[in-house]
Amino acid sequence: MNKKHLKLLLGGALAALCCGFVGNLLAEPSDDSASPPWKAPSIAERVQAHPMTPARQRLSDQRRLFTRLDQALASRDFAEARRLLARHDSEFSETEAWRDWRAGYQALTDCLEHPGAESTAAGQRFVDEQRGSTLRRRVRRACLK
Amino acid sequence: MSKARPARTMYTRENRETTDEPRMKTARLTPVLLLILTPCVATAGCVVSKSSDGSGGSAGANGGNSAGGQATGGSSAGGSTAAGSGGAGATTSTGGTQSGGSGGVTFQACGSEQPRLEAGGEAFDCGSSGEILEDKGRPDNRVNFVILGDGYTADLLDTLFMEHVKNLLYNTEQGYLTELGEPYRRYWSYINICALKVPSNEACVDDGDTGQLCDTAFNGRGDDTSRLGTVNNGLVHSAVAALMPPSIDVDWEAVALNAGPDNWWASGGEVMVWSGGYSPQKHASSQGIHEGGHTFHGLADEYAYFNPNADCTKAVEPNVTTDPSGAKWTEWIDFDHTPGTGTQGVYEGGRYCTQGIYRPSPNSQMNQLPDYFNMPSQQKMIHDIYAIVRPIDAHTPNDTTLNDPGVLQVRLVDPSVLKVEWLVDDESLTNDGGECFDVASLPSGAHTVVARVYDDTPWVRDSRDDLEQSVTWTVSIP
Repeated sequence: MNKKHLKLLLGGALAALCCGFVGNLLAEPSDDSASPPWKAPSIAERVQAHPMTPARQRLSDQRRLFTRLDQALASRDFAEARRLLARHDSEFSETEAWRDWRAGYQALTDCLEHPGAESTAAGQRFVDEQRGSTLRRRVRRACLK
Repeated sequence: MSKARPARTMYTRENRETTDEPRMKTARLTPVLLLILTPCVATAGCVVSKSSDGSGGSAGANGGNSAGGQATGGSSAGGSTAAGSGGAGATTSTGGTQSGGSGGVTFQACGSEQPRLEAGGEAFDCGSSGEILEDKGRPDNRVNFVILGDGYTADLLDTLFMEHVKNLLYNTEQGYLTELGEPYRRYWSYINICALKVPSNEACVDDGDTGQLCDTAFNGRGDDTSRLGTVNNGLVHSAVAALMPPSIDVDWEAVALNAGPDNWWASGGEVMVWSGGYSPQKHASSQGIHEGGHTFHGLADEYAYFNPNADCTKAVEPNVTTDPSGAKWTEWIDFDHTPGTGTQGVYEGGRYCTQGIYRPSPNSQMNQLPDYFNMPSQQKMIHDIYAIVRPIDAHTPNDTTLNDPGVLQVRLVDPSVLKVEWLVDDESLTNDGGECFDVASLPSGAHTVVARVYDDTPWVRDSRDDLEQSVTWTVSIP
């Protein structure tokens, strides 16, 4: 165990203790696994995957905005979807990382709210141009089928 | 790709008496229908053949563009997807020529005859720079998971990079295929995986603590203060677009950072990023799975500690709520997740708030690592998988009335996960049948036959219709 890991373990233990965290220490190993049975570690052995910093918070905020977009589209609340897209434009305008998602959700919103030649063509453009986007299948299904 | 499949159900009375397979629900059978359940006709066969040469397949449906070989139960969406969810329903599959398989996808016949299945879609392909780690079937009906690396020079791509990728997936203590990896382990047949090998000029990534700058493919960086590991997502997308076959839609993307054994950096943004070489390796795997919870399923951190930047008045993610009654996951309240995350309930603290936000379990994979995903999270993950993957890969064409077809067949994504209810003229013959149904013994006349394919997992308690799909045939028996 390296020093950094030791630090993380101690940090996790402290976080757990100060927050009243109660781990599930009673979990029994499953008997249907080909891999070795898993034993729940002690609190001191657990670690938090990461701390929360402003940069992470901003990442989380963006992710949550897209989750809300999913929910708006699932309930066909297109006004809310467009409001969220506009909000993403204004609040995260500097963000390169999610640019294809912004375009993809725009295409999804257009295809679901206004199915027709124009939105289909826009969806086709997204599928053709954003070949590395993880939204491609959803746009294809919503716009081209 | 050819998979051995177990023999499945026979649908005759005599065979029911001699098989170990689940029996029909005879209580719902009328006497008339029982009488017509005669022994299997030898020429048609009733049993799934264990051998198949897999030959003959035309290119069939384009994996990306066409619904050609894929039955559709309403729209494909479910769970969180945007397109209106249709879930299951009688399908009106588009036509399409059929042959035994296509592009490496092999079908099994229901007996001696070649199955009359629709085209099965193209084979999974990672391109010339990719290495297939899991080929589970037609990419237009699987989650396609692509993993890249940053900070791996060309000489490290076949060695260190692949070690890190395989550790993420197959770590025997905390990887995807351990019980901690559920529900991925159960749905492993629903996921294709490839590693794309993109060389960096230097074997490192930018280190915000030391100021070290590295020339890498995706501009990866990290620091110990935030433990945030990031890449340039646009560069990742460009690489995927350039290297993956254009017909394949990539659903999940991840990047391993070659940040050495001491730097535990990661993030769960649009692309999942994890420190591939962090030691101990089980923690690298566990963190990758945690970050995938963010990236692939929109799960929240369930950390219960004070953070001045956190908004503790809203909780949009499926595994946190501001409602102390836990209505968001009411179906799981008091469920004993053992082994697992214990009693599901409403525990105060979550998403960086000590108060005002509630989580479903004392601990989970989205909290202190390592642990299981709790049930609301698992439920969401399964819905997300079914939003991409429909239960039926292919089936006997149903676009016209079939005259004396002998056998009807559905090809399941995973027969060990999915069950088939066969119905004739609205009467259920079995709720746990196989992929093949012998119709030769039906009485003369026209009949409607339905195969309802469903997943009876206990890990989903809401919107279960999203986990099933049906095909309807009209058959005419002379």
